[in-house]
Amino acid sequence: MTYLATELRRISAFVGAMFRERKLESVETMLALQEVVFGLWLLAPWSSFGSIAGVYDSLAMMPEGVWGSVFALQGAIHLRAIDRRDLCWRRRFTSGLVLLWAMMLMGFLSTAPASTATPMYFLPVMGGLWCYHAHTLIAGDRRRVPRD
Amino acid sequence: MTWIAVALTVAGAIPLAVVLWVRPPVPYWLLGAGLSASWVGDLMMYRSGGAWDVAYLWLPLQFGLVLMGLARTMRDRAIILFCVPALGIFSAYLSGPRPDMALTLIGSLAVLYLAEGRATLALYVYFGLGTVLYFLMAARAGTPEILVPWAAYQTCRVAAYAAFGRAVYRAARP
Repeated sequence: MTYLATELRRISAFVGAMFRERKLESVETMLALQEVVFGLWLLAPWSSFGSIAGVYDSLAMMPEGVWGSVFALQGAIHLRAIDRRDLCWRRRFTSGLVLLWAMMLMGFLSTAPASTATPMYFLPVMGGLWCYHAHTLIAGDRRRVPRD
Repeated sequence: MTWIAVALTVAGAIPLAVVLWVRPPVPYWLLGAGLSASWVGDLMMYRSGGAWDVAYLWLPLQFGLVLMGLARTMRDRAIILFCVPALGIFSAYLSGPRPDMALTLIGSLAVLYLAEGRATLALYVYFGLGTVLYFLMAARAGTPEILVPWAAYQTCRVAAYAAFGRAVYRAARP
């Protein structure tokens, strides 16, 4: 029990350090890259949604190519915003990121909640929410700092 | 059950009623009218006996009004005026007569990108959480299991209306 508490404290200190050291950019870059790769994977000529019978039925309401285009485009523009250090648009794209991954997560939760995909899709949702929260904190800091 | 459905349909008029009563700045009028477009949508769906394809008529109206309320320049509004109906036609071609997906997904992303100011919370609840729940609901269209996501979606809608009402009051009387 003590070991668990120590570990939890360590993890929370690590997350806190990430906030302080502004490592947000690397987490966000990974999430945006993941979106681009995921989008390109869906755009590839094979049928990803058809690979597991039943699971992707709910997602197949829209063609795979459209899902792929939306993911790849959002990820690519997000990467561009990160490169240009545009904090305002980065925060906005983070909210889009959460929406897209949450929809993917729901696709699995509604058909196969016990699948390993559930925790795997849960991670980018949590990562996006964490980035959004960090952006909100940064925006608050910037508002508090008096301008010259 | 019918009374709940009727009450929820009428609830769609709340944003427009609040805007007419409080008279906030112009963008809020567009947002209120956009959020209330679901009232028209529910009535159309009721008249058509529950057909999902009527959404292809009122959803472009909703997203068009909300996005124009969030746009800053007339040029952006002109772009929205052209893009949203085009996206509606594209979505109807892709998914019709099944529930709409492309317009809801891309339109909701655009609203999340542009949302700012006091109405942000209402828009995030309606077009963020609401879109995810709509997706769950649409996936169960035509089955008895639709009831749970439907109830969750309607709760989310009413919560968004309440948040919008609060935002309008605060915008009109800061």
